[in-house]
Amino acid sequence: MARRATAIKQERATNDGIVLVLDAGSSLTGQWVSTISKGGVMVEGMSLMGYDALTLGQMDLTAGIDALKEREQEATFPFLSANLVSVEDEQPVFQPYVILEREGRRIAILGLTEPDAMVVGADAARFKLLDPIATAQQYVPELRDQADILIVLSHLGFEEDKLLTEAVGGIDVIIGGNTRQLMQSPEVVGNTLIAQQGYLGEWIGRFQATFSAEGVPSDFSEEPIALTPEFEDDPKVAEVMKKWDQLYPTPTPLPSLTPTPAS
Amino acid sequence: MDHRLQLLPFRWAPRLALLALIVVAGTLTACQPKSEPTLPPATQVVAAAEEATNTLEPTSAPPATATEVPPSPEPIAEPVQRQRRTAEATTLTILHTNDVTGETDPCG
Repeated sequence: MARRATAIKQERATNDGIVLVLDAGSSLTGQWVSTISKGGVMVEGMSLMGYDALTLGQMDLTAGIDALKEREQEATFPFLSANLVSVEDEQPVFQPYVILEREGRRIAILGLTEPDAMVVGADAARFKLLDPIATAQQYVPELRDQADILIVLSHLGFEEDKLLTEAVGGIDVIIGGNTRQLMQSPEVVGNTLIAQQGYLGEWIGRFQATFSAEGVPSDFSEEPIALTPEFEDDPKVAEVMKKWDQLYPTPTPLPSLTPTPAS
Repeated sequence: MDHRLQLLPFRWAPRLALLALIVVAGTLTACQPKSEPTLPPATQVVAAAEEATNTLEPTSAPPATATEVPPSPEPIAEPVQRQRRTAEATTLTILHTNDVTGETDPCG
């Protein structure tokens, strides 16, 4: 994570135009300290890195919705999911989308969680996941009217992202996850560009496109940036990691971190 | 003469009561502290762009106070609209991660 912070700083310094930092889900928990802190260490580090938004994926939901709401309050960026709703009233539990204003452009980012993401324990009775395509069909026309560029931040998986694109017109970019592809170029489906990049924080994806005044993308690319030792640790993020490691030392042997199955 | 004098109070009573109500209502309104101006959503967008922080929609963020955003005689939404109409081609870079699964030090 400390290398990632350095890489992001360098990318911000060397790229002109609008630079966004996004996470497409299942990033907050899994490893010991991140799981035991219910995503606390990741949220603090990602806030320091200046993430602009995160969508929720299966691994994130294992922390529990109440814990995620607490993490969201601590984060400097929104947690997005348009199709994670309350059973009671079918209203989104987290923000469905965010609209950022950068360099005179309005950029909408819609969050979608995979429909089979585990909602653990007591959460299963309180929350549910709606069909992501139907949800996107509800939001995209509205966002298209409000924004110059429309990004879907998706944890549906690569094939599902393609189906989404075919079912819902008007999406410019899908930044995805779940199926963990390393991509050397974005997938072009109709007028939509799809990208995702690796897993475990070993890579950052760098998606680039030039959007004309009319919002038409050109000169697009996708490249994995491997976080090799040439990226020095960012001292502030390294300090955060050290603090959390001291707070929750890794036990030996490591207990099972398998989440409670949904009831 | 006597007849007119008897009618006068009945004619004027409703008008006097209405006048009194208007005066009382005006006094009460004037005594209320001025409410904070509610900023249109576009104001929050502009402020967010300047500070490079997120503008959250549709969750209603607490409105910025008047001291944070100087009052402007012009509608704040206008500059945003003009920028959108005159926007040149823009390069968008998205640095993105996924499925980090809480790994703080994947190479360690």
